[in-house]
Amino acid sequence: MTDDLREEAETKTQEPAPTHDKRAKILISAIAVLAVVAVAAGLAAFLGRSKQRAGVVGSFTVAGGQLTYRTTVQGPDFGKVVEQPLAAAQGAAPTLSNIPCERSYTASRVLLCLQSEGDLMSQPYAEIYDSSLKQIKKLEITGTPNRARLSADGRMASWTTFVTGDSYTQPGASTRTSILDLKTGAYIDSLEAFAATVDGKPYKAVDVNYWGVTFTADDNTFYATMGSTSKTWLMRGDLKAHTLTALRENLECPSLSPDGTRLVFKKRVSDDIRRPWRFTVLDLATMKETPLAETRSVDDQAAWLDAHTVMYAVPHDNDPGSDLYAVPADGGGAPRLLALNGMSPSVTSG
Amino acid sequence: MYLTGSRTARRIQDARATRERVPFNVKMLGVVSLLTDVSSEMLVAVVGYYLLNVLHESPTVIGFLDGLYNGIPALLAIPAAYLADRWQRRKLLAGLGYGASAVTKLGFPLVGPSFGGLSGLLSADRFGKGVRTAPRDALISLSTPPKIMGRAFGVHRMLDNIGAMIGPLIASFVLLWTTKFGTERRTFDALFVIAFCVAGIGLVVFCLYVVDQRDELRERSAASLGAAFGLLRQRWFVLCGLAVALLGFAWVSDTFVYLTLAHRMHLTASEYALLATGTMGTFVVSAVAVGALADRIGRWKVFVLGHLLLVVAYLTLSADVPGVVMLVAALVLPGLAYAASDGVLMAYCSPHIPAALRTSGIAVMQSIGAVAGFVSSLVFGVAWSHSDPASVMRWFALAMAAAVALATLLVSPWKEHFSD
Repeated sequence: MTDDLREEAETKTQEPAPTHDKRAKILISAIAVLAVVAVAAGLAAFLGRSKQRAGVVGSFTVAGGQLTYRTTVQGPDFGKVVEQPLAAAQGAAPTLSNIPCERSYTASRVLLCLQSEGDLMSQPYAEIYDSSLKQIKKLEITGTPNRARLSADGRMASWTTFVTGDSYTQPGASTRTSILDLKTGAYIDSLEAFAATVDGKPYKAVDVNYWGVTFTADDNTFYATMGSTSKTWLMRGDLKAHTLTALRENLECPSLSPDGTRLVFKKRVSDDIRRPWRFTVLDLATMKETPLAETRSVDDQAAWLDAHTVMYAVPHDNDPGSDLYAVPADGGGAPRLLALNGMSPSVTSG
Repeated sequence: MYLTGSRTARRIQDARATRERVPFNVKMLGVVSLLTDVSSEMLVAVVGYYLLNVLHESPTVIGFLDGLYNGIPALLAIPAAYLADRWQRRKLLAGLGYGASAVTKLGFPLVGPSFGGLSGLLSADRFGKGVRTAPRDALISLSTPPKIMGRAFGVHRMLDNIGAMIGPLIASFVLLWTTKFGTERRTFDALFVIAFCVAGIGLVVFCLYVVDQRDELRERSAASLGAAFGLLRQRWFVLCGLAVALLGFAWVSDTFVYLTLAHRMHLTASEYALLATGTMGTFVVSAVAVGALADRIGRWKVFVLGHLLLVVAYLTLSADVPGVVMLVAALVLPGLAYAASDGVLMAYCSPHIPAALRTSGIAVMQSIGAVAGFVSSLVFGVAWSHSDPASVMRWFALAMAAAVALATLLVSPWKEHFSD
């Protein structure tokens, strides 16, 4: 069949179609309608966006004894770090800083902030600010910020990010945990470079991930989670020796009490991948575990409000915000609301 | 005309055929693919953010869903293609696929922040992808004179990948916008509506301008299940499928090429994110030219040559060469290889498959490629964890060289004949 004949044959098998002119008209009107709908939807969202302020602009000092967190009030202040006195009345307006973060932590007149900059190519950074909110350090990091922690004296900083590029053998993201010594400038890009030991034997696997560091008072020993083959371990790390030793299984996101005797952590108590955890306290002297009164499965590295209470963020059901709750660390009592619209809480150490 | 019947006439006719314009139908299918890709990429970026930050799902859950959804198109492709042949309704099936993807976007504001609802909608989107691919390629091949098949597929793939390139770009704008202005429910709803509108325009173009190619079946049995399985008894089909599988096994997925590059060149996250643009850009720029070359010198020849480029790329990635050389080898060569394989394979196979079974045959070839790619990634991942990326690359270069040799033995690039 020649091509001309074929074309003829094709036109014959066509269904009776509207004329070219008519089709163009339909197309143009459809595009016009859809474009108007798209623009209207965009405008409605833009004009209807919240303009609510999250607190009062004042002197933000990173002073000891204050409760600091990032606000999740939707509007121009979303993500900014705020602080308020511990004794402040429930619902009192906190003091706003002008620093937006995705995760934050404060200790001893130091603020650690993980945030992304850049418009099209967003690049995450770890930033350190002093008590006058002057930036004293800024490091390029990789991945999506997830955990941030400082040692009580503000010298050691650590953060964990989710890195998608690293995970390839199985679904799910892998993590990367870094530690920075603000005094010496020593920087450990990834804890995966440390030598890990489980049950006295060196542990080597490609799927090893570390997350959720908490520092002890000596600024050399720290605790963290190691994950591998769907198990997790509490690891005790030694910065000088570059080693990590497994202490216990099934323990995530440890957080050391101010007196250094207990860890609050996420214990995996269910196979339901959507609500697997229960906050539990581990006494380091007796290795006795105490489940806390918070029964919701919360994905957060808790922080200590005081020697007897831990605090954490509970996500809202249908927006990017969360509320801060506190619960006694002895297993008794009940969770109480600490502050609405908050995340990454810390009580700044003195 | 007075030249009729002479040899010169045929040569003139041949020359005219190669200069022939790519059918309107193919261009329109390309535009539809472009718009649908833009819309889907917007969705991918937003849904990931939505799951993580609004529904507060953990990355583990998101990764799990991702794996699940990626399996759906693979499972659906062959049954959908068979139905398209059985009923000789390729436009219907392809339209169903495009329609499902478009309507899905409108579903997001309706189901709101419900995990079950979102999973269902994402499955529907993937269902659309699985259903439309093979009928669409069958339509392209049936609308195009065999002589310019390579170029026609090149034009479609170029448009398709322009969509895949600008989609993420738009998605980044969109995400920037969402995260800066409040990240509220209504912002997401607006984005879903916008994504729907983009896909909707694509669907309108599809309905108005894409013409179905339906063969009057001489006998009902021409597109029966038996006839479809009969394809698997045809020698060339089996040999070709085998060659495609071998070459697919040795093809290192982009992710691993980029990871190797990042590992060896110590790239930052933002540099890493740019790598795909290099490969895609090369693909888009060269797709039409490579398709036309395939029409001229032989499609299987170009298909095999494309894979030879990969041998060079993998060897470079495993060798001690300056960064620039490595970057070019890792991005430009695979880009050219895509241009020489994706559409060119379809252009090579299509004319060999009886028109009545065109969709099924195409779906089988595409599924072979997909499964081989999946196995290749698994093997690469395991090999990487027991060794280092440079030596795994060397092994894959070797494997690709062997696969090219075997593929040439299975289907000779020098004896390409068309029955037309």
